[in-house]
Amino acid sequence: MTPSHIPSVQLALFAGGDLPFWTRVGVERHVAQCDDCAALVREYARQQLDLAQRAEELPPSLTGVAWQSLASEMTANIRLGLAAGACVSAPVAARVRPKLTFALAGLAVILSIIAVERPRLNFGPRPAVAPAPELAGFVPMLEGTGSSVGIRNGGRELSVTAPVGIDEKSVIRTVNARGEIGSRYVEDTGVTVVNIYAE
Amino acid sequence: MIASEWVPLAMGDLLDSPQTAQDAQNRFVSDNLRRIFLQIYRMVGNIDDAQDLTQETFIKALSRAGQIKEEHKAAHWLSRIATNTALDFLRRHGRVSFCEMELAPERHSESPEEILLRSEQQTYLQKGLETLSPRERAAIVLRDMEDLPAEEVARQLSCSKATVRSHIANARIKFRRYAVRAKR
Ligand SMILES: [Zn+2]
Repeated sequence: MTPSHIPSVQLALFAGGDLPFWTRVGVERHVAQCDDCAALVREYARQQLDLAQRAEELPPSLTGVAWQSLASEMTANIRLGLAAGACVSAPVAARVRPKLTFALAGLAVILSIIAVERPRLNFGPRPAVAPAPELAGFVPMLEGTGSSVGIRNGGRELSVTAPVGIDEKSVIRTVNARGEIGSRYVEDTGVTVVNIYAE
Repeated sequence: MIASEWVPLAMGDLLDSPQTAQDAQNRFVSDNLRRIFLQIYRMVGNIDDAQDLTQETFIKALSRAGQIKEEHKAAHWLSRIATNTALDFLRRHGRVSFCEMELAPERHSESPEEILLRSEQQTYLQKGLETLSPRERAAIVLRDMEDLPAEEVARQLSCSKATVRSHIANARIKFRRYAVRAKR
């Protein structure tokens, strides 16, 4: 390319209408008289159009039903994440780092996935649970995951535990009227909050 | 994470009922889910990460937004959170893995040749994006694919208009070079 041509950077921006006014005027004048630069501008414009047309294209493995099911899964996870965030009481939430909110969301998601995917996941034999009379027909599914959730009393109780090394006296456990249980304790890395709820 | 990401929208008045809030939230998710997922997917290059980051984006946005009334502003605001979430992820992981090139499930209306062509075109696009730096990729996705004005792209990338122009230009030039090589 000879020095008299317009630099590629300016041509690429000119093609997309992204040059400031005075630079654009100069480039416009040159391009009107130079076939080489005009051809490059056309190429950039074509490329931009091509990219715009592909904006809505889903990845090949996600067309049709696959996208619908992924969208439903994401929507459900978003709801769960928001619900888990709402479980954290306001004063605690202010101290807790954003990462923690997502850890909570993750925990709620894991519990929910376990509940939904239960027939497909195999965690070994499940202890029999005798439903209370007022819950006849509703079979509770109690599952423990990670170090923070435990099952006691032959599968009849779901408990929140603190990791090994955490002083039990410093763990605050809560139960509220909505049936949510939670625990809070201080670790080296900050305050950890675990909330579990049933849907 | 930069603080400006959390600038709230003009949320309007308080809601009449929790049900209305839930409906508005559901509509907001369904109206924007595909766009945000694709925006993030173009930046990180694989479905699993894009799924996680899309969910994270909506949870961040909705846990700070009571009601979204100004849809146009909300779309840009959401897009900004998505961009930051994706760039943050790329900074932490320092990689883009474009690994979703498997063939799509067969559709009745498409011949095997058409399915193959569609898959090849997607591969071509993602591989082209892979040749760019994360910020160049974000710039070209937002400017040329999402058709956002350069000013908005600059806002999303938290940089000046001059810097964003340089990202956009470099991205277009590199993508064109890649396209020329790919055609040979
Ligand atoms: Zn010229």
